[in-house]
Amino acid sequence: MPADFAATVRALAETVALREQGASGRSEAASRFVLDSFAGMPAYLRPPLRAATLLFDAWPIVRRRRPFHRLPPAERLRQMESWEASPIGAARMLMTFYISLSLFGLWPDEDPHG
Amino acid sequence: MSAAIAWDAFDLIVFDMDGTLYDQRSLRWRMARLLMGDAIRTRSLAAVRTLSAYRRQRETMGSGMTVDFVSEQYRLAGRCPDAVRATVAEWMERRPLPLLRRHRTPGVDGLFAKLGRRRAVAVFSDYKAEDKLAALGLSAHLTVAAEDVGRLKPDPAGLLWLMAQANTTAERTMMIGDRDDRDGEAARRAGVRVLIRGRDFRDFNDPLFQHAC
Repeated sequence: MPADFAATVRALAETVALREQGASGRSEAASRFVLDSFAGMPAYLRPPLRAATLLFDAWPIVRRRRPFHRLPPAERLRQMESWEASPIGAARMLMTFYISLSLFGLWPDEDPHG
Repeated sequence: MSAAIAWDAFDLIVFDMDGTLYDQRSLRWRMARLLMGDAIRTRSLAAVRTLSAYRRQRETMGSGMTVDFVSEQYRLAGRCPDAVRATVAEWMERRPLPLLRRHRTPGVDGLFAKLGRRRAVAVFSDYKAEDKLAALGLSAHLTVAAEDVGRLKPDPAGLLWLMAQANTTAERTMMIGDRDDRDGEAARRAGVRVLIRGRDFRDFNDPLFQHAC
């Protein structure tokens, strides 16, 4: 059960969509937007962000025996919110990065051509 | 779309703004970065949450009939309407302006200049268009926003208002937008021909616009 970057981004987007918009949240557009945003970031920022994301994904393996992206929704939300409120600035910033981009990706103007 | 357009058959060309005159997707990434920076600096996701809820509200209103959308659009659960209005003004109206020019759709300046010589060029947008037009380095004979007519697209009220101002008919009007469910539907309800960016053409250097003068 290795950590998986894309699966972690999707799981984070799903968690944000669920928390912010309930069952009606469309997380696919949000995770696509976050992954596209990551791909468009300066090259020097991507490796540390990827490493921090993989650390976040691997965090529950010791206690839960599963990475974040394999946790049930309620446990994902608990982990996301504990990192959001963490005393460690880098952990809070990582969550701010993903939550703000996911929220932005949830804006309903995708698929413009109907 | 392969069929050539007889541009002489049109007196009024109406453009949508967002996503049509500039590339909304690339601008969104720039705005997302600004919002993310703001969230990290202020340690608050309030602005991005408010904007996300506002966009959903507007989209819902566009899909149904809202009697007083001008004030209702700012009424979001748990938020003060004045604060919502201020956040929207800052992040959706003021902050994108300096970024717009570099995201302008290729060929649009030349097309506006060519079309404007012999016919009316107008902008029909769900948001105020004048400042964005100026930021894009463009000018139009007429502009109308949803707030001016009290209706969001796909309601054709703005399009009908523009036709009345230009003193022309639906047959002699062309709508150019990027969303078939909004611009396309508004045009169909008004009986106006429509071109959709991304479906009928990619940008304004497309051969479709070669003979527009």
